Amino acid sequence: MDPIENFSAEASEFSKGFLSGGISVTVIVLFFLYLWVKYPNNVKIVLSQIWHISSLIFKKWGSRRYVKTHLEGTLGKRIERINKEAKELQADRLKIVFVQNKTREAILKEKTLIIRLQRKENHSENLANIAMIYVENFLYSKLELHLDHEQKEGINLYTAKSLLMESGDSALQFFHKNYYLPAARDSEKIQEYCEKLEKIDNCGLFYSVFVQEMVFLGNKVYFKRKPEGINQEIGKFVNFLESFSKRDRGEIDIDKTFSGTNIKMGFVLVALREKHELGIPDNYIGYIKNSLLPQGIESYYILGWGSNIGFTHRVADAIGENLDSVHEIQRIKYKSIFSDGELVNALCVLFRNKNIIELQEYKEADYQLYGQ
Amino acid sequence: MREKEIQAIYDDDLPQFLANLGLKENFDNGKIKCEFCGDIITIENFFGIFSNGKTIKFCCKKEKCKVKIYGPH
Repeated sequence: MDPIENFSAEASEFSKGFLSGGISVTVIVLFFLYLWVKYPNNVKIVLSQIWHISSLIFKKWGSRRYVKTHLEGTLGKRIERINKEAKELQADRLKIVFVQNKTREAILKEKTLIIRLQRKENHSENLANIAMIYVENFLYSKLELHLDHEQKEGINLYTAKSLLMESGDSALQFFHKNYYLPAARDSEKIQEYCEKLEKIDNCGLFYSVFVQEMVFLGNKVYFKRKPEGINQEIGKFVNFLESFSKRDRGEIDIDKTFSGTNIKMGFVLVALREKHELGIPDNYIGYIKNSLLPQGIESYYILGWGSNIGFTHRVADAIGENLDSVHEIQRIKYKSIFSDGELVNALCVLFRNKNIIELQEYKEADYQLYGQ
Repeated sequence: MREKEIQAIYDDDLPQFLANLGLKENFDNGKIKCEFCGDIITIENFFGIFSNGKTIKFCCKKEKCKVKIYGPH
């Protein structure tokens, strides 16, 4: 072959290879970029494991990166889940910033807290400390306005514990020993709150119902004077949810509505076999229309379990189509543990009344009702 | 979704960090105490630092002390 022809054939092969290689690299980069944007916390968890392995060779360098990305990834994943379950909570993403080069002047000016992070060998301490700092500082800033000390501590402790649920036993044990036990020893009321919240959470109703209602209440109280009696109403609401959470499987003769002064919510259980077998969503629509709406109920939680989930979707669709005075907020799939210990798949569909009343003052009769 | 920063100092950077702040000598000589319980801050019990705008304060890792520096700063 002519040397010029040979050269041009080689150049053509080279440019083809270069082009296809370039496309492949671009596709891979775009794919990782997509993963980073879509699942940032999962990517961080994977990255943290890479840093963990690399720390075996590059001890300081890898270990530092592991601690940061693992904290952001594991706690971030739980925060992401909380945001999905409690609409409008808007919990912020967590970012760890190392400030080894910060000057004395900057620290004095900013007045920020700088916390020590342990090496990876003591990482469970880091997880527990950061979970607690995050909850205390950022998570419930809008909610805390209407909580008393014990309620705030109980909710913060329980939430920090729940943030650590997927962080391993040692982080939970550290948290239990260093945060929960001292607080519980100091206050029986805090211990009581945490125990009640745990029962509510086992039933899958902590974030999707309790925190959700606290967010709605927070929206009412925001920029307003906190009315006396609100803590008592919250206490009563916790008791109501605890009692609801303890119900036996199939038990329907239980209080399903909380019609307080500022918290007004009701459960609609899509669990009755007769209605299910008939496949008639009308009964549920009628219950909301004739029984709950006239009471001024503001949040409607449509709950269904196991084989009822499909029918629960149909009921929710029918409510959305037939009732103009409510609008659907969200559908959450979750796990629920019944009093017999069985874990079941469940669905919670939240509807909100379009007509929400403003924050109400508590009357004398309310105080008696809420136990003051 | 917004981002909230938690500022931190990694274990290995602690000596250099204290040196940058001009506190290393006092720290090594046991002259720095916990703002809340008065215990001498050592490399074992150091938990965090905070400031009131005038001085840099230290906190040890005892539960009753560290919960006092939690909350908005």
